[in-house]
Amino acid sequence: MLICLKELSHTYKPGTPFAARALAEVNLNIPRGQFVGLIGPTGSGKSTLVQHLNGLLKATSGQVMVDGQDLAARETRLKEIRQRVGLVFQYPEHQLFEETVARDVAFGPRNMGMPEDVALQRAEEAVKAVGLDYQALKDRSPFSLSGGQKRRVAIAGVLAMHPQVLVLDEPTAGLDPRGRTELLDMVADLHKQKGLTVILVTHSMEDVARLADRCVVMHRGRVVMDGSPREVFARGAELRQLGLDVPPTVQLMEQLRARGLAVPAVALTLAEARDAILRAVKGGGRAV
Amino acid sequence: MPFCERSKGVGGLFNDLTLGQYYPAPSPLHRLDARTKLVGTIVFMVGLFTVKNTAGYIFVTLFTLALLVLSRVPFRLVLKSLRPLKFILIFTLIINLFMTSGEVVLTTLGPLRITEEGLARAVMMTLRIAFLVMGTSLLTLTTTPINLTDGMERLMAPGRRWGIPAHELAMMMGIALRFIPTLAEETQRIMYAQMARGADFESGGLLHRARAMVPLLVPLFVSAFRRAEELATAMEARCYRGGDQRTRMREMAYTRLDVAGGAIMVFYLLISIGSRWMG
Repeated sequence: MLICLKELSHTYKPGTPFAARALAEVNLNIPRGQFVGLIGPTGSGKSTLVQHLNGLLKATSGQVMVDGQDLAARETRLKEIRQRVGLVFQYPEHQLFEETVARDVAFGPRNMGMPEDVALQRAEEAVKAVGLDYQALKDRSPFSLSGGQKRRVAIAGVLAMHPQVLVLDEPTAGLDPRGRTELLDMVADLHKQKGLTVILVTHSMEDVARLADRCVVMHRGRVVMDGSPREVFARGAELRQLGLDVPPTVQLMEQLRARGLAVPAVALTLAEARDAILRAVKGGGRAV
Repeated sequence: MPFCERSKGVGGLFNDLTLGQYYPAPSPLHRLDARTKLVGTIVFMVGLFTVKNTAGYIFVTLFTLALLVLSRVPFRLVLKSLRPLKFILIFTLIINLFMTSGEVVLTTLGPLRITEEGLARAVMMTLRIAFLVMGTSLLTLTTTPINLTDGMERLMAPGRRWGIPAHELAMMMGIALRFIPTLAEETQRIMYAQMARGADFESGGLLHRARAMVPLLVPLFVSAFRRAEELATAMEARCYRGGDQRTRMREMAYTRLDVAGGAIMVFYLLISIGSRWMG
């Protein structure tokens, strides 16, 4: 198991009138190579959870294990963990600071103690991996880029450390539809080609349906559902009660079923929905 | 605010920041009008600097303790406001202890002599500074920043005649106070984001640490300017213009409690002055 959370709880500002419990006894195991979609309404503890994965936040109680190492243990070197678990924050472009794109992306590798030329080598690789033209951008100021480019550069800054796990906290917030699709396709490629374990925090059920192997639903600091997207999205009524929803394709299936067409309850992609509908219509299958 | 006291160092950075840290509690001090409290704090300070003998100090000590009890703010929080001043307090204590000349020598430490006058003076000066800080932090602990700036604006309002831009000053202060927690939160976020990329803000020498602040300060300035611009646009979009004829959402009104509070402060001042002729 790559990541193990045992009875993880976290309380902000403990012992003050502002104490707020953000996580309550979360148990979660994530094996290597999985693509996990983490969903939940605002304030459900998703961001708090992911900040435990590389030791930025310390558990109030419970345990966080990464690759067999307990993050609370004295001998654990957090820098090493942070290299292995790459965390991309919300609006990661707000972290850019260097004079050139190349130097900014090389910041992580430099912090890992790599010599300048190796760090820049890594930067080049990472900028290419996020689909940008390294030669054209490397000497430009990161502040002169467009919003989508800035975000990619920021993600490259994390990828340049060669993490085994890539954690993305709402990476598509504020991007236009094309920017969203491109960014997520890029993440999916990294997952497939490099075998990266991905944890994607998102509000978009559609993205989870399309990309994730597994869907974890959080509500008020607890994990309330955990399963394949197919299993989770079959529980539409429960999801709606939590203030969430099912992807549009699943909504379509629900409505068709309500009108008496014999289609399966869940279709995760448009193609799957199309095939299911064609089959139902051709088979003349009116389930009355 | 996603702060975490348990994350050492980073989270601890702003936890000592009592400024603007309103502590909600059901106490008469909280219910007092901000203007009463502002003027009261000034009177409190004047009193502190008026008393000069043991009787006077016993009185202000009791008065300060009474205020603390009345405020229902945990003593721990008020003490925390003294922490940044601990060196000044210790310094004051030591300087006064050894540097005051007097007739009754209590003990000698090499060339240093501790006199009775010195001991008394050291204790009094240290208490004076401690009470001064505790009194003012009690003001910010029991008053929300918005009430505080409203109160200041109203108190400064007569100054408009002489060209003091009371409203603008209060607005600026209100905005500054409003953005302290926001910027603190932002700082924390950027710090975490850079730490996720292996940045180290805690170890190394002075120069190393100063250089380590660059990845934090650049994004912080960028975001502060962005926020300022957004705020300016948002205010203009709602046709904001400061100054005359603005009505307010919350009218401030004195109550009987303020009359009582005012009376207590008058007595406090009288007794402080009177104590100079006692014992």
